Amino acid sequence: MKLSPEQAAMLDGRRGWPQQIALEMLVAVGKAHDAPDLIPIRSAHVVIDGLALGAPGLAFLERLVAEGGRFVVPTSLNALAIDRRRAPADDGERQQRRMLEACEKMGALASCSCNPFIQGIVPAFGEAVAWSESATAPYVNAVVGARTNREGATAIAAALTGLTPRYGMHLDHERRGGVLYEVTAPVTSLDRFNLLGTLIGRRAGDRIPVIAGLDRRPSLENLVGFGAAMAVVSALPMYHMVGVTPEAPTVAAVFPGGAPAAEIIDDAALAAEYRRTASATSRRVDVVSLGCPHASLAQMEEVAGLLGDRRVVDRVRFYVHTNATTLAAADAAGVLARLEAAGIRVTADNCAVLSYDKLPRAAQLATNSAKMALFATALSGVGIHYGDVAACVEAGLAGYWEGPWSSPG
Amino acid sequence: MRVFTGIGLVGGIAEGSALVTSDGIAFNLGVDERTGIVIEPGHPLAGQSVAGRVVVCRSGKGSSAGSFSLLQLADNRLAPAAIVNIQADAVITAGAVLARIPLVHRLDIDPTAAIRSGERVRVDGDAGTVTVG
Repeated sequence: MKLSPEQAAMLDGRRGWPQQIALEMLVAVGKAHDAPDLIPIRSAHVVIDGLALGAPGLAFLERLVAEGGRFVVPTSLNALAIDRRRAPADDGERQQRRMLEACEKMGALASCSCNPFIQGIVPAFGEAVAWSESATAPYVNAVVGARTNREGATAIAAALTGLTPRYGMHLDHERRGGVLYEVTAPVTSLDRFNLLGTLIGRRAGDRIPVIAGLDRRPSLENLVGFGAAMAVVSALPMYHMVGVTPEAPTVAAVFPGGAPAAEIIDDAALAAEYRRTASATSRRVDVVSLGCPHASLAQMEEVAGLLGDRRVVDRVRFYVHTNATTLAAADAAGVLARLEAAGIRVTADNCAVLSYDKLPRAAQLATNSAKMALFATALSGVGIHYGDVAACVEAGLAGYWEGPWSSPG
Repeated sequence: MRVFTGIGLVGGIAEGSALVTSDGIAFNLGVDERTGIVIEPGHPLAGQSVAGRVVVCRSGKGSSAGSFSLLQLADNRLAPAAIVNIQADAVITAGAVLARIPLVHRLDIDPTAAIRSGERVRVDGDAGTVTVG
């Protein structure tokens, strides 16, 4: 890989250990993918999930700070495993808070969300960035038209140096379509966009999916949900929606060598994906989780509207997960007070699975998010009731699941 | 003795007993960092420990937090001695840098077919060579 004199100085330690370890990561990853060089980035988004980083991750971040490491591009942070409004309850929560403080000392913005797009943290079309959190790459690449690979620890390396290796999503030809889907099923609600995401993520393998035929223009929330669901079951960093996402005005634009025959996704395929997701064994509902990825103000207003003046039944934990930015907006708009008066627990920064406070095993959880369904199943063995936001709200009010699984049209 | 040549991504020399799968390995949520044991349900290596082994697998997979899982394994002295991939991904590569694990990929043969679990393997991450037997 070709390095500038300054980059070579970083790599051999003349600019200190933080830049050296960062360059070592970037050069090794670049070499693994035949990158010719490193390119400048405009921003980074860093995951500091305390459960995944553990004590050695904290020691790594605090050593970066002690040895003078600083984030040299605007750097936002992903969701935490704690809600900062509460005092840390144990060693794990105290570790998570210290990870946050270390990143703030290096100059990170304590945005603490898996959905930075509803916080106004959005790259510009065409620019190179280095964003971690699997749900962010599909939105950055597909919806915004900025460029990022799916980053992990490499996002920290990129934030420390302002650099990323030139491979994958930074190359025009890697962003082309690989497989074409014609959607004939009605896909209008968020829960259905999620099912479409997991279905396409599994079917596409490593081919970038191109989606045509949607009968309605998706909302920001629909696109965030679709991309998060696709990314959780695949390594895909990108998709195209014809006539919706900016690099896919037409099918031909994303298949310059000619489009393949379209595979049809009909209502039966979506219903099969639903059956794969909904694993609950009785109608009982113990937990409701909305806001995966973090809920927007519009989604919080939707829940408040569906509730009216009714209250969540006492034995159900009803969560709406969001970030501190959106929580403040909801507070100012009076929406937070309405949700809390109904018995809903609105969380900031974290969620039901990204938390030191674990879900009870064998609980039955209602959600409209395929990502929440998969993680809650893997981490806590819960049973899943899956449906649209109205079905989830009714489940929280009644304490049992009535369905229907999704409202068509 | 067989010597295979590939591309060294993370330097260092290490030796150990091979642990081979043609599948990928998800070090976050797929391996228990307190025991080193593969816990992904249905994985061909489920129930076996990666500690001190030369892990030979297709690539990484799953959560991008896997780099830090390798660091946690190393901190618990349960990390693989070395890793050999068909094609290394960013998660394993960055994790191998952080945890100082020699890493080689793209050998002149398919390592998951040419190397058997339990064989003695020496990995030279600087030279990009893998010596078996």
